[in-house]
Amino acid sequence: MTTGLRPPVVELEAIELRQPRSTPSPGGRIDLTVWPGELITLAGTPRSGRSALLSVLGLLDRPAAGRYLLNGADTSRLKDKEASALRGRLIGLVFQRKMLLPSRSVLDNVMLPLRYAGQRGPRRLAIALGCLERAGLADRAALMTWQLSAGELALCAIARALVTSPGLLLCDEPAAGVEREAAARIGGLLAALSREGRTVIAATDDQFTAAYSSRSVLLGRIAAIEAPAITAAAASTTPAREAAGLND
Amino acid sequence: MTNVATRPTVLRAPDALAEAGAAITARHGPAIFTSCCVMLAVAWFVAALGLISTAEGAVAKAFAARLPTSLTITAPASGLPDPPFPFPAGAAARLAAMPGVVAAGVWWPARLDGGPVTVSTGPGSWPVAGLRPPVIAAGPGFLAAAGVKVGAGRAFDAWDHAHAAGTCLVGSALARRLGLAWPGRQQLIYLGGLACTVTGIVASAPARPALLGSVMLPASAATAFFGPPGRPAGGGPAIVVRVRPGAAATVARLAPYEISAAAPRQFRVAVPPSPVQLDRQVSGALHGLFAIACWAGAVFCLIGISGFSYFIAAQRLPELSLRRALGARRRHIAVHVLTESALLGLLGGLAGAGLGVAVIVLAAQAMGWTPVANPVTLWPAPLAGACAGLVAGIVPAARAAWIRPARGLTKFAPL
Repeated sequence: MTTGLRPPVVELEAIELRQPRSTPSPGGRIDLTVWPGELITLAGTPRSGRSALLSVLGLLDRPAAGRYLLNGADTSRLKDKEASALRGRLIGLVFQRKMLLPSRSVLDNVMLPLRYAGQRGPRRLAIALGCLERAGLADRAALMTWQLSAGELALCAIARALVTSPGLLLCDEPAAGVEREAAARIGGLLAALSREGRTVIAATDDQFTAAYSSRSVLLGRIAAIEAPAITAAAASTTPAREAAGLND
Repeated sequence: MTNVATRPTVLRAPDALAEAGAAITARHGPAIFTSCCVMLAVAWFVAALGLISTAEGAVAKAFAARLPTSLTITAPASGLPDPPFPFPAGAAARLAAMPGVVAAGVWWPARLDGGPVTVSTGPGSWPVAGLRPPVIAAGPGFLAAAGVKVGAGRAFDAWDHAHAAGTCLVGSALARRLGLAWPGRQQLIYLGGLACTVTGIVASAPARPALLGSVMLPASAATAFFGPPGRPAGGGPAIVVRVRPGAAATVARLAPYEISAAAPRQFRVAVPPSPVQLDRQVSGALHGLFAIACWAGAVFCLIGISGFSYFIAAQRLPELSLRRALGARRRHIAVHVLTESALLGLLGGLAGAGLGVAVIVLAAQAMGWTPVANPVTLWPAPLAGACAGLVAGIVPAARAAWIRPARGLTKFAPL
């Protein structure tokens, strides 16, 4: 995967966020280009606008100003039908509060996006079980979500995001509040996804995820920094990974 | 944009139904309230319409009991020399065979030398002082047409008619005045001096109560004793026809043609006034009152359903926003809300139809009426409930469909 061969997945041009409580970046604008297969971490202080930026990236909200190109298409011109299709097929979302339906089982929660993707029952079940297995939750499929630990909830949310095989995975604090072992599993899972060619953008302060990332973008009082595009393979030698002591 | 990514997301009907069922199960409290609203509305509707039918049935039954069931056919004197017996032979038998006719028979007041026939209990004795009871010549079928019931003894029969037997029936009131005892030895009375065997005492004659104070003998015997019937003003032969309730008007119209198709205008049919018009007025007033109550109740309940639907949709906003984030389109969200609302309406409608029928049956039992429920109002009741749910869900669905996903997700309750 090289930048010269494939176009960027995400291009942000002078984006201003609508989040009223977030601290604006200098100049109030974010410029960022994300290439396929990258694992990027968004860093910053609380209320720095990381969640708001992920909402814009996930087409859940529109920016106050600027241009957001997703796979080369200007998202400001998307109709609801197209935006929903992108959310349902191209983008996988992992929310900070996980947002799993409490009255449904783990399996039902993971299968939920497939209802809108048009998958029928047996195929839907097979895909969801595959994703749960990958997240290490195959034996938790029948449990209700309130029976899961914090780490399992996070992994379940990632499994739900992966169920439609999205090309772009957006994670808001995927490892927040989870135990160290689960955080390491989450970091490893995101890195593996990145190695498969999926683009992962994670708003996180977690050192494990940061260690696997190809670069970090700092939001807040410091301008969004766009590092030179690098490949996911190159990410394995980043200083962050070395700092975390996770080199193979 | 890549073509796979822009292929629109879909929501299949089974999935929408399954999601609605799951949503109802998850929030059963508000769902029960909403269904109860629909149930009360539908029950109110079904019960009101059923009670209208039941009350109309009861009113119709009450009026039917007062419908005329007895007709009298006469042949007014034309002023020309009329035959002594104005009806063709077999007229009464033909009338009795008409649809709607129970019985028909000829009668006339027997007269001796143009005056009343005296009645006495001995061969040479004087008539009882002040007693001039009518003596009736009764043709075959008359007793049945007049609803005569013999309390003691027997009525005269076909043999008596065929042989002009000197037998008679005495009304119970007259029998008391004559001092006739029954049962006892054979009773004889004298009609104009001619002995006549009393075969029975008439206990009741609902169609002609005056018969309780009369003496009746077979028409053939009356002709043999006193000669053919005369045609004094208002006193000539007549045919009494007993009809089924509601058949009086039709029988009255057709009877003259049945007697004589060649000269139907010779005969006059007297029908007691019918209460049908009053029945229709009472039924119309009942229908109007119940209809107003019915629609007023339905509107109030619809307002209630709308309130609950709005509450449920407001509760679901975070979840619906999550669905938007996972690929649901605005129309899918609207379908989710409307399906849940319609399903609740359908369940409420089913329960309401049952409750409505129960109310009809209980109310009818309490009033002693026959419960009547029109299937046309029963079968569509669940559908009406579903429609009410759909209508009530329109505003909440529109609201849920147009909310910004990012805004709705901020209200998501953490696990």
